[in-house]
Amino acid sequence: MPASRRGRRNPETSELKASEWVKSGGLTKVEAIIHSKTSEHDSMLVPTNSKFLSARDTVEEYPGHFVGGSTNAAKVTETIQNLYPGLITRDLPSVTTIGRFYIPTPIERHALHPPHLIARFDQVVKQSVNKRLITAWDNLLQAGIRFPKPHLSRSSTPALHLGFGEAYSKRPFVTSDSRAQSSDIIIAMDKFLYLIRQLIALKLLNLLKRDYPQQYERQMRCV
Amino acid sequence: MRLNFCLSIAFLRYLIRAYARIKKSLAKDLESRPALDFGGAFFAVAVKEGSSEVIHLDFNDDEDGVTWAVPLGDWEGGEFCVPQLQKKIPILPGQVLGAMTRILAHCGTPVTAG
Repeated sequence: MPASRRGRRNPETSELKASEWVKSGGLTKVEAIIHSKTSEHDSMLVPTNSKFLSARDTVEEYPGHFVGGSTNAAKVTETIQNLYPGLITRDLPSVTTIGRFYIPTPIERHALHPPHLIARFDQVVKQSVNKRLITAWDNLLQAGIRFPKPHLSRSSTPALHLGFGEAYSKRPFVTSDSRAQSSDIIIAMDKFLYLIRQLIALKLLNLLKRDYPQQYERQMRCV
Repeated sequence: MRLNFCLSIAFLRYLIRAYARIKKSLAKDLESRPALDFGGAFFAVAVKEGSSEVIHLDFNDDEDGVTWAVPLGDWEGGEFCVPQLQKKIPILPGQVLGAMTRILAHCGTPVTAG
């Protein structure tokens, strides 16, 4: 009876598996994880992809020009134009497309501000999830969902706001885009939102807990 | 880019105890429409096709919170631009972005394919 190639105790199989694992980048990933866990730097302040982004990459003026200021969209445009005359956003330098990275909030950050101004996380939405959500969205469009007028200070195309709001109100409320629709549309909407809840929200909650512990704690606090 | 979700604490004035407040104030709504309960990860979903091409702030978001951008579909372009950082951040399929969109003015570059 020929020797089986199955099982970890077979030295040939073991060697083959190990070499495949190294070739597929497994070793590099493990080294990167070990490095990130054992680095002398504060991991909250150093971007994971430090090859592309140094810890000094953060806002020149913090907390910035818009904290506690006017909520006037025209004022934002004016301030940006004054700060960066001739700015063409598509010509801004691009950071790497690869992997997770952080742009840290300056070390002297406001006590309640998140530790990262921006964080990008990789491999969060699987291709199958992407497809399921697109299908649910197409069903919602097909049901004839009504869009509000676009906010021209943001975009020439409209956006739906689904879920809860609290702006200009004493109590939270269900947004009008979520309510003022026919029953067929609401059924399709809830199917779409249910998928977001099941396939996206739980993952983001985990990211929040891990990378924004203070925000997680405040958001989820009961008393 | 077929879709771009901005999953946020948008329209909630106070981050603190946000989930508990929603569950208490809107218990009946949540009972009849449980799909609106995102488990406290965020409370509203802004959904649009394509990017928001005009530089803006999310005035209704909490200054101390995180807004998530979750693009879906298959696309080119649609980078997240932040003039205050003098950077644009590409987001590829599968990736998500968390940002302080109440204090960082931002916009998306046009979607060139998808």
